[in-house]
Amino acid sequence: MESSGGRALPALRGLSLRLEPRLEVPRWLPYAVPALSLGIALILGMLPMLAQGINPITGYRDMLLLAFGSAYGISETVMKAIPLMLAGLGVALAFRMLVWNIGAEGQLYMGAFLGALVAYTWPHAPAWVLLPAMIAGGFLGGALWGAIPGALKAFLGVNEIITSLMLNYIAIQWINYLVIGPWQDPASLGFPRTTRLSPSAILPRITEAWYLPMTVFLVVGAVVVLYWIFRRSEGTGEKLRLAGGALLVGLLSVGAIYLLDGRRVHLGLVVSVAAAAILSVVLTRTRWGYEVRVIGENTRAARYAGMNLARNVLLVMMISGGMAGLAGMSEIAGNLHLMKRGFSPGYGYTAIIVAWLARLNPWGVIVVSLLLAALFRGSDAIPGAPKALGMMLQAVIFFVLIGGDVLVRYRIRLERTT
Amino acid sequence: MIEASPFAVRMEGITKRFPGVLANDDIDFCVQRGEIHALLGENGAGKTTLMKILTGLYQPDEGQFWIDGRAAAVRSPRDAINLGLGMVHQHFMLVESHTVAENIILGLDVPRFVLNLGRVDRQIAELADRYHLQVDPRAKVWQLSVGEQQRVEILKALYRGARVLVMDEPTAVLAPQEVEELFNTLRSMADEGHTVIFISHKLGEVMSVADRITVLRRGEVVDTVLAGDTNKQSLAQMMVGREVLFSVDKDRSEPGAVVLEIDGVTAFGDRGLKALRDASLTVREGEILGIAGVAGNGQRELAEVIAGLRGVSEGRILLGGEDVTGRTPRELIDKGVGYIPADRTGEGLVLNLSVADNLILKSYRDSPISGRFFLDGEAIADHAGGLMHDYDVMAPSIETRTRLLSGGNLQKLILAREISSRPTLMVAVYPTRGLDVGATGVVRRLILVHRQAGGGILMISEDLDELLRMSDRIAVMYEGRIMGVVPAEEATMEELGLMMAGTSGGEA
Amino acid sequence: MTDVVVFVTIILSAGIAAGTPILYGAVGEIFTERSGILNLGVEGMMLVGALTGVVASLATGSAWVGALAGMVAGGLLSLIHAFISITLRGDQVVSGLALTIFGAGLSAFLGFPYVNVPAPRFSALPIPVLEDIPFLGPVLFQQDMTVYVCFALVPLAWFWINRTRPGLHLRAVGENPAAADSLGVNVVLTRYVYTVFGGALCGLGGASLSLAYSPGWIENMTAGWGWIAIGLVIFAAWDPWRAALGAYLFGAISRVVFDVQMMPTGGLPQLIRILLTPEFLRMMPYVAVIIILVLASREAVRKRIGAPAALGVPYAREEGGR
Repeated sequence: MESSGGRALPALRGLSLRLEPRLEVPRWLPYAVPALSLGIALILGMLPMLAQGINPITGYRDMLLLAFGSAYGISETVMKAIPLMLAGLGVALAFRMLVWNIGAEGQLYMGAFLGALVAYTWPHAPAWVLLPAMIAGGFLGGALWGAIPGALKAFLGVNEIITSLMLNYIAIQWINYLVIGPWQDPASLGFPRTTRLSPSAILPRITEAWYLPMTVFLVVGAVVVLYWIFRRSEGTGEKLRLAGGALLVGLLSVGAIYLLDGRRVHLGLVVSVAAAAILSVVLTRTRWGYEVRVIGENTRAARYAGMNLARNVLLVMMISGGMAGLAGMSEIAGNLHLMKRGFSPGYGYTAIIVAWLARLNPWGVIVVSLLLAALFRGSDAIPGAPKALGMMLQAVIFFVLIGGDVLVRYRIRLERTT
Repeated sequence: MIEASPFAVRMEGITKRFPGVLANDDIDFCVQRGEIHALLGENGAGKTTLMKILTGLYQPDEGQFWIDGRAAAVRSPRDAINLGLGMVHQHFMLVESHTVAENIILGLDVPRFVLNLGRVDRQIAELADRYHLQVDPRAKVWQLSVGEQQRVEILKALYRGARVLVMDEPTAVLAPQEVEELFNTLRSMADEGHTVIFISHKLGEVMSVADRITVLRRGEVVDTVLAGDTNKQSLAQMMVGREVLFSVDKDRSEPGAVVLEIDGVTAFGDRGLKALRDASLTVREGEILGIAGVAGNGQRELAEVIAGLRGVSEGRILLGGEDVTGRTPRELIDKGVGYIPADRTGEGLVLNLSVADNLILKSYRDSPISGRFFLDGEAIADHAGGLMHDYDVMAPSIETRTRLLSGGNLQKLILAREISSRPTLMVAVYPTRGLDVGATGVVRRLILVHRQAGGGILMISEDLDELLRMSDRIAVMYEGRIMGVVPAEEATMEELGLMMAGTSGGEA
Repeated sequence: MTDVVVFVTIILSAGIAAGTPILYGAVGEIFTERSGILNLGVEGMMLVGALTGVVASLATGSAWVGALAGMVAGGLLSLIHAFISITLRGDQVVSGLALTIFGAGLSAFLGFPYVNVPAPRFSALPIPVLEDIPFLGPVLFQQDMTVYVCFALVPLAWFWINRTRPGLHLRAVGENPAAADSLGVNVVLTRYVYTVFGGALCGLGGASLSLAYSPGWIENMTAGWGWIAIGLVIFAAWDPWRAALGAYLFGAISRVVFDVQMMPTGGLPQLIRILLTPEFLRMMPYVAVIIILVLASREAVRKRIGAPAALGVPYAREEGGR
């Protein structure tokens, strides 16, 4: 007796495990799987902690407290999440089209570089001119850096994974050169860092008075966009979801501003959320977003419909790189206010995990960034194992997630074999 | 006491079901030792299924078989090989970058460790000589011609001691003189006591090389005859049956201007052989030109050439009088060519996207679907909703992922998209293949409606009934050539059957 | 004149030493990819192998045990990737990336107490008589055991892949698994075996890094060399000899880069001086890999040498239909 397809796995005598491709996917499954993966990973994460003689329960509790237990904690967690959000959005976009951008780290550094270049060239320009210019510079820096592997793939068919990765190391060395060489701060007494950014080059904190005109502008803009989306949306379900989303964002923003009053969280957060909104709109409502989705799902159909694959690969790498560049720029201008060696603790790489965990969904990226940032922050709470714990946990999550992915695509069946 | 059976292979009561289809229905099949036995029938008659059961790729639901008089338990290709059965598939299973010798010994336990191919080369050369299968053991397979590659496949079986050779459509990929060489080989193998079963749909060849012929139709055995006792006409009749089912339930139409003209087109297939040879056709407004023929005779390539997915090496394609040879698919879409591909999930649909997303695959650049940058969600919703309703596509909503739809609904989706763009020429390739009765009816009705509205339709189908029912004219393809074009009303099964099997017919 | 010869000798000798860890990774990946599985986790497996080597060596006092332990670690880790890629037919790119991140994270975390702790290592083992051969002697025969083993590995790997029956099966599985399957070759088992074996070699490469070339453990000590090994496989057109050529060449370039840092640059033009700063010099290997990949892609198009035809494509014996 045969079933309609599937693979037999070896199991117990008389029984066999069969992996059958799922014909229908229950709606809750694609969300349950990442959550489940997180849970399993956290459990598995206890093992190495035990190996180091750390009590996992108190360990996790301390982590949670550090990350979310105080306004200060939340603020710092959010600060760490901002570059993850921006880079994660970029990576998610590229992955949607099956372009494996592993170079987010390097694009992040190059975006920081170009943004800082703008800041150091015109340090006395007024903030409302300088900051947008720095944002543009940050985006451009990452975009150009991403264009290299993009062009190599689009026109020469060179594997983008390795090229974008090599460019990471090159970018890091470039920044190392700058902070020790031409841009080194004479007042730093030999420590490899650049001079501090001028006051107008600093991304202001969310709650500073300066922010109010910006808020108004954004709110108005959001309303306009929402109204337009409302008018052109595809059904009541969609309208309800949009309304709910807008309400949520509004509430969160109000809550965030209240909570973060006086804290260090900078405008980068606004940029991230705006970027997520823009990316979401682009993917679902623009012609180009449609092309990205089709190319990523079925290249043959895309070719038949006349879509230009090479041009899109290049474009996607540039935009993806640009977003990572924004991450770098926002980290420099909003958090550190200067550049130093290795200022990114691997945001570009973690962004890959963020994107995957979020299933390449822009809003998912925002949420997952906060979660992973909490993981990183929290691992400071455990003595004797700083960044490495976070790194390892994130890797475990990633692995379990991939395994869990199988559950989404296949159904496991137990069968009797004769 | 076991008496020596005259039968190399005896199969009794073989039944095999697949979801939705009865491939083999209580088949009895015997092959005598040392004979060349042909298994004849149209596509879908069940020939390949029967042989795959014999060689261990499938398990029968009912029935049993004997090899050389002994009941056989064949559960895998390995078992079949051990029993002396060798199958030469239609699509070769060769590693192209390896040499002939490496391919032949693949999977065997000798040579023990080090590849000392000298001895193997000699053994292969001996075999090759004995059976007139000249091939250089040290040549790389990708350098060989298709005929030579086939010889490698045969040698693979012989090297493993196969006494019964099963060949699936062996001449499908051969040039005429290679066919002759193959037949010489088969005859000398039979002389040496080997038994050959070969699957075919080509009457001429079957008549010239087989000793006995078994005809299958729709999963059942029609008859088994000696080659000497029959002729092409009666074989054709057996292959396609005597039912004259067509009723005139479509309206008369007055075909209008010529929308498509193919003039002397020659094109190459994926394997580098000519798939279309000097083909010429016309299709007019408001007419359905049916393309009959056993699958694999160039129909798919014909459709791809018209849709712009394959280039032509000779000849011209004219759309409404304008030469469009060599244009890209996008340009042809813009000029009004609709395409319903054989492989729905290939170019036709993007399974992971929603119904709405798929419906705009061709029109997403035009207004009102989109403006300069943005897609108009409302317009898409209207368009998609309307199409779903008009074409009776059953899905929870336009946002449903296409992957979840049944085959019939997928086809309706494609039809909806193609027909609604009002193509002047529609190319439909096996449009009802794999669909249940209800969906088939809907699809046919939609095509007829489009015909009524003045569209020109080129319809490729394996179902002669369907073609006779729906077409205004029928062209038959065989080995890339148009064997003849006849008005559907005047066509007879025998005439079509003969043309499908290689005998040239009339003109219309 | 002799100064130049001495210089070249030192460069080549150091190049061979530096290229050895990468070569282990490359040969391992060649085996894996030849079977049709793409394993991008080389970096992770090398890191895990490096750490395991140090830990085992410290625990047992024997560098040999350390090297063996590194192999086992690399093999075990790649078993995960094998399971996901072969049995679950998952996306091999993502799984390999996950393996890298996992290996990096795991080794960083568990290696925390071992940073810069000295462990028993492989010291230089000059071979008597052979080391006295002019020029070749100092270059080839004043290395340590990991290098010598690698010397043997390359021709053995070549012989296994191209001149043995198991090697034939390996190549067939990577080129046309359906054909191999139809003739009774166990595709699944073959792929598992070579994925794990390839991973073991990567682990050995990591161990050779931490126990021989750059003794000791530092977090992330491979600095991207695992990725370079993957690029090398493409450059080598999946041939162990070419991989050796590439790895040693790369090692030599790295050594030149390092030495050039020591050079006085007083009188040279500004631009050259900039290019010779340590940071720029450290960029060079990575730039070289990109250039090599670009060249290799064009060469592949020209010479029709390509990857194993079934590389990265999951295999399943489909049933059903007619």
